[in-house]
Amino acid sequence: MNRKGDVPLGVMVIIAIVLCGFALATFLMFKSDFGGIKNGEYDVAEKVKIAEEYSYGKIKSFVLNNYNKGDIKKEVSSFANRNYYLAGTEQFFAKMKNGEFEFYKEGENYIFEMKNVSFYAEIGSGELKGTSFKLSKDIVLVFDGKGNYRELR
Amino acid sequence: MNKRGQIGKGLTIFSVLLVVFLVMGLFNFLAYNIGIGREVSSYQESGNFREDFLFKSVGQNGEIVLDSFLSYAVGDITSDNLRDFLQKDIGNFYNEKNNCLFLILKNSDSGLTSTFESSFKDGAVVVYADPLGNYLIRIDGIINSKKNVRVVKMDVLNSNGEKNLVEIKYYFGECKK
Repeated sequence: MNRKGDVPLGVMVIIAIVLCGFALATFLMFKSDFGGIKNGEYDVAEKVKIAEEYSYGKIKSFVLNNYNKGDIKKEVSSFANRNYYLAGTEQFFAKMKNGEFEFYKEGENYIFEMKNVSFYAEIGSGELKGTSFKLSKDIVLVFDGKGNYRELR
Repeated sequence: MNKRGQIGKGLTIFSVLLVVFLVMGLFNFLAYNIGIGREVSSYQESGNFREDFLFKSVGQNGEIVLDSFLSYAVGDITSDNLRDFLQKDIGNFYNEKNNCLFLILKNSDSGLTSTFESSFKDGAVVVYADPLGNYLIRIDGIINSKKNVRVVKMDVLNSNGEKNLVEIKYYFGECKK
């Protein structure tokens, strides 16, 4: 057997083990930091999403319990008067309080419609601290004849 | 190269590949067992909240589960109030006997950390409340997978307009018997 020929292959084993160890260490030390963008800065998109989903949840619950009460806008006062607000939902609650939405029947379904509502969040830490992120959209939710949420339109 | 040399070379390559596969297996093992301890974004878990437990309707005025958690986190209601809520309102959501809820509420600005556990036992909903938050270890022993523990962080403005960073860590689903 040519023992000299086996030396590079032997070295390959060692290099493979070292590379695997290095990759493993990188894997374990990974802290979700991407080029200086910290977790706090990523949170902002999630906070906006939560504000949006929270508002959808509130509408769904409100409609489920009030869809059959005639003019649903008369029921919003207790809905909108609150001791606390999820940051970013203020405009949504203001629009609800002012009755700036439509609720009507379309065939078998009920439709909730609110135009041009904004949800926002501010970056709380990192280099971009204070920068706000805003999502503006029209909300159109479809409910069945019993007030159960069906779909987002 | 002679035949013996080729056999040696083959054996070496085989052993290298074996090491690589073993390390890949180790990666998978670690990803499963270490990754679960990380606080993963809820969106990474499920894509959206639309059918999430936090957004279930619990009141005539559009109240949802999350409202009660936020009320407690910002000091609007006491732990006894929240305990009653978990007993009565959340209790309605149990449709399987092995279901349980673990809830950890934190308010970074007020220093609040409280934990609650609610489960269905002997035909009734049982709630344990620990307003001081010494309950964290129980989660490991009872739920099936920490991967399903969700973490949500949000800014909440209290009645004085002060911003509170509230973190809700929760699990709602099947638990070990």
